[in-house]
Amino acid sequence: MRRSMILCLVLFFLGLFAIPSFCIKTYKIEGRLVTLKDLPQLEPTTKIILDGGKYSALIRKNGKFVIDDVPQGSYLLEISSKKFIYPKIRVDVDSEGIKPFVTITGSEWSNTGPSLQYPLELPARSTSEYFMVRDGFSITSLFANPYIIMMGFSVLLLFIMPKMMANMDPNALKELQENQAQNPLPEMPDISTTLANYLSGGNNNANVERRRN
Amino acid sequence: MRRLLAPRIFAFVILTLTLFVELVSSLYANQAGVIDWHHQYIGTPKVSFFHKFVSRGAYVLIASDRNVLASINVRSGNIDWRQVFDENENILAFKGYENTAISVSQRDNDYIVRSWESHSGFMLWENRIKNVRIDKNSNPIIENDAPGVDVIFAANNLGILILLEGSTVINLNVTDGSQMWRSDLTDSSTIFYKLVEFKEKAYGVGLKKSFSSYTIEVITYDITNGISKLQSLNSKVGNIKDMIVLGGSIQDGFIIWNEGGFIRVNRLGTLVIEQSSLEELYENVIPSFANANGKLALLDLNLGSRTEFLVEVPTKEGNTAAVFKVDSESGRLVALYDLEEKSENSLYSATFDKNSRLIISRSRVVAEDVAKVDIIAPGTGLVLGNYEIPYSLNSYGDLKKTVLDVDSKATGYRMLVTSADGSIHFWKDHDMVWKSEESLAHTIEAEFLDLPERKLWTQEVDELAEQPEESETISPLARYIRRVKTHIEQLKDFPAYLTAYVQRFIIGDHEAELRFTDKSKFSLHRDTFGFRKLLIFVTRTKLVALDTINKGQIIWSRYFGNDVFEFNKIFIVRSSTVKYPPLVVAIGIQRDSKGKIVTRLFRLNALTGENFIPTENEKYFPSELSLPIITKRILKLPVEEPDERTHIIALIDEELKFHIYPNHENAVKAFIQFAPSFYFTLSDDIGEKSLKGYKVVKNNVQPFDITEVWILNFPEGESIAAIGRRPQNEKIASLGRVLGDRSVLYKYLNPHLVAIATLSTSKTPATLNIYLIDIVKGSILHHATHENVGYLHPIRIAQIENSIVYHFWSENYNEKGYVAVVYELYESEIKDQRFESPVFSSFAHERPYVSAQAYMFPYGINAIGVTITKHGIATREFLFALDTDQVFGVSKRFLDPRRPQRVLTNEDKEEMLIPYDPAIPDNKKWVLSYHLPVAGIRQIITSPALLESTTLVLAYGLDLWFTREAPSKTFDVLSEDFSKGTLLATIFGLILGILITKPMVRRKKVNARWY
Repeated sequence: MRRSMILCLVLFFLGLFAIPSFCIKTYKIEGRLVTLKDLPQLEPTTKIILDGGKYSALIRKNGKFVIDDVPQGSYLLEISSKKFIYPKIRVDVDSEGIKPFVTITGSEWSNTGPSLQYPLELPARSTSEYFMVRDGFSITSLFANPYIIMMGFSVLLLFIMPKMMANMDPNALKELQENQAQNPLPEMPDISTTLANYLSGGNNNANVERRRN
Repeated sequence: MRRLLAPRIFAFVILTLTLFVELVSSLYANQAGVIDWHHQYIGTPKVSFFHKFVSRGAYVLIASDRNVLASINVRSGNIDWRQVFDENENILAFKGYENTAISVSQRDNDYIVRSWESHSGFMLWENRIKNVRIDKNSNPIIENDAPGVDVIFAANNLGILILLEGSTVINLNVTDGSQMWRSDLTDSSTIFYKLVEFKEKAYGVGLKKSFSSYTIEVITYDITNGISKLQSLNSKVGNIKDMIVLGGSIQDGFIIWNEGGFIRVNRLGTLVIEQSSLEELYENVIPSFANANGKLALLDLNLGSRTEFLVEVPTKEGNTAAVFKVDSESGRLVALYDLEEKSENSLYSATFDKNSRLIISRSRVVAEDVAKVDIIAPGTGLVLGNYEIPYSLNSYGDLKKTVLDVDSKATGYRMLVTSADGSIHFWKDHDMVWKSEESLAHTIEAEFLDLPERKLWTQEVDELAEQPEESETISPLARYIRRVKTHIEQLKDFPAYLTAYVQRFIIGDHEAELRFTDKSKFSLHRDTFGFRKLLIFVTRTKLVALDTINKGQIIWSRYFGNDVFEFNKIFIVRSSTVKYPPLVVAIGIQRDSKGKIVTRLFRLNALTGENFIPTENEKYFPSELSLPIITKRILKLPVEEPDERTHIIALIDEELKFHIYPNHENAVKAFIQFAPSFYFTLSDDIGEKSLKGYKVVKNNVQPFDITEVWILNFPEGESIAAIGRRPQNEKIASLGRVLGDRSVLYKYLNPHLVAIATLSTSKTPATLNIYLIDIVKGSILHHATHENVGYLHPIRIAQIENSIVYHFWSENYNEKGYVAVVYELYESEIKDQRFESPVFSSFAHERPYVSAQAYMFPYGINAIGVTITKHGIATREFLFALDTDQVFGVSKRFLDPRRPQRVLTNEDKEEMLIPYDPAIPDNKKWVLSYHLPVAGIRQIITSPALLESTTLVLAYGLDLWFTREAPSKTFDVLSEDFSKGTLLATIFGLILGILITKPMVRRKKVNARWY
């Protein structure tokens, strides 16, 4: 170690103050990808990319990866896979070792997420879903439709109302009818009439009159 | 009061409808592969071999010049696996061994050795080898076909021996790639280029430079520990091609070289040299060599440990060859078989069958459309096969390389053939089993070509083509009869049309209609929606036209390798108009007979690929032209010449002369009229340090002179990294952007605006500068700087309408990742305010108001494209070619500098803005190419369909990928999941209901009258 330092210094002066490349201490980032079930699902083209391609490595058959010759610094580690979604990782490389953290696109770099163990053991977050799910026809979805529920309800009322009225106390019925006669509901515009009028462009009052008859 | 309600209800209905419309369209699983297609390519093979390992059958392993490793299924031609390396990582060697394959590649100064599982494509291990002496200048014999790299597998798993750069030999462990020993040769005058191993010793054979020739040097290694011993052979070799090395592994290795009048043979490990006289050979042994007319060449047949090889001799009319063998006992040459003289240039390849019988193939193109293959067993002299295979010389050029293989059942001879255009063909006996148009992996440019309308074609044969004088002579009755005849003629197609229509109605498959029309006479015509176009590709030496439907089927292809060294441009000079066929002009360079570079122009009919020769103006319009100039820049001018209505092409040569094509009188007139308003730039390529604006001088002498109008020198250290120009086919729907309060921001639409990104790499990380430049007067309209930008990462910029998008890698203190920035240019920051002058002029002093916003982007990219629709009404979508080999579409609504950084106000909601978020979401539903591996994309181009909602998208580079994209969903066609069955059932149900209830109601009414 000591001797190599001296050699570096000598070369540094000889090379007119250019630092020989082998004197920069580099590190090796290692890890393993864990998929949801088992490894053969991983694509052989899965790549591990450091800082947008400055350093990169291909995945090995056993799911392991090694990125060689990484100098000290703080890096963004991404896993380029079409099948699985992996978290983005911030990796800090310094003389004390390699420290990975979870990071999120769009958050500040100084804002490190939870730290991870090293060597990295990265489980896929989920599989990539590229397609929309087509909601096919099903009876349950049909019945969940508000219009169908409304229709069903009114049909139900159609049957129940006369029975309810029949079962009502005759006095109460009479009172109800009187009430209705006394306060006629304020004229509510109903959508169908308005639409019909709009479309025909006709006189709505005339229509209303006719309906009254 | 009540009257006001109606519009409100309508507004409500529309609002609810828009809420249901998703922001960006995405695919359903069953749509994948229906409208889009993907062609995977690998490039032209550098190394290719049949690899067989136990029960998995045979496949072809290929390492290509596009730095791709691939395994191809011999039966279907499909790619089993593929590994695409970076552009700057060259593959130097690829070799199979049992169930693995070893690749050696070079990246910068490092060599990378990787081991692959040959059936799955998984990497098993890799080893980077550093500090290999690289001294290309002193290595004159290191060439492409002998790169000084060799890989051999030592017997008994003693390791993988690898020779690098002709000077370093390493031995790697087979299982994990760890280095067992390494030996660097210090003597730089010797270059080794071949390794042989037998009897636990490895031999490196090289050439040492001596006075006027080379001396053979042999280095011997002990495989177990790498101890070496160097020996010199008493020899004189003129060229590396005069020496081959054979044998090894189970038998002894031999060096064979051509020296003086002799072929000499040395058994490796000894100093004994055997020799055979050439004179003897020519006169007595091989009868066909008697006609020799040139130097003989030794051909290594790559047979592993076998010692057979080929000697090829050119003759007056063609060439001849003979098979030889080194007898491993005596170490002498034995002549095996005379292949005899043939007048065509032949290619040879060899293999051995399961009985270890040597089999040789000789392939040659004998006619325009036929290739001939002879299969011979030289040991017995039997001719095993004599096949004629259809092969188009016009489409593929000559044969370049063949690799022979015998089926494991020894029933057939199959061959992998590479043609001059770079394509791969797979032949088995008489048949062409599959082929792959690998020339498209070298696409230089691509263009969409609109097809002519069908109606016009029928009218052409009917009435439109006739001249007025002609019409006068035809009586109305005759014309009427002719018209009726035409209709009857058309009626023939009716049943087919009807079935296609019903089919389309039932399955909603638009292409069913197109398939029907394919059978008709004029098959190349536009469909109803304009989804069908031609894609015209120009590759290094070839033009290829693909159909956008039918999975990208090839319509025509034409090889130009004999006329053109390399193409550099293609232009559609005339689109499909009434009765004239569309035309393309392809421009390339070629060396003439004196070795001078000339520019070649070809004008072709874009529908057939044939030279277009107009009937009337033939002398003005040569369809092939050779200009004695070296072009600096080629431009298509937005002006047409009046005779044939083709666009004029401008060629600017090295001496800054301005040539136009075609250059007949009328074209020159049209150009001179246009010239005063024509400004262009030169030196606007990646890496240039300044930008220059030019203008044509009005001197009416051809070639025209040009004059420098302005020059813009970028600051010290900056060079151009990316250029964004507005696409020529863009359409703009509105001049302004309507805001929430009904006021308008007017768009700054300058047709001369160019966006340039420069990088200054004087310090790392680099600095990115963005300039918006008006190229008429060279003024910088806007300038922005980004500090700490990655210089290794691609910078891409795209411009459309009044917006500009660029993408880079940023490593600021507080952000690290990909950044996408969007600009929108307006005439003024103030609403409803415009420039004073009603006519836009670059000479006015007006500057745009630039509104910008930046986002973190989830991926690195290689290209940006923008959707272009017919009228430009549909929301634009930016298409990014990701470095994960996918195409990602981001709606303009997300890349919008007006996204508010506050809680949305009512006005913002009215403008339908999305609140600002620092990151563009990584939404997998936005990946248009879903899980397809669309590798190596360099460019994304788009073209509008006839439907406003839809745009045609093509991504090219290594692969081709095409799709139809509807950025704001297909609002103008019925959606595919619209259930026509339900609609019909409802209508029939209602009719039935009416039929049933009508008598019931009538009866009830009648009854009501009675009671």
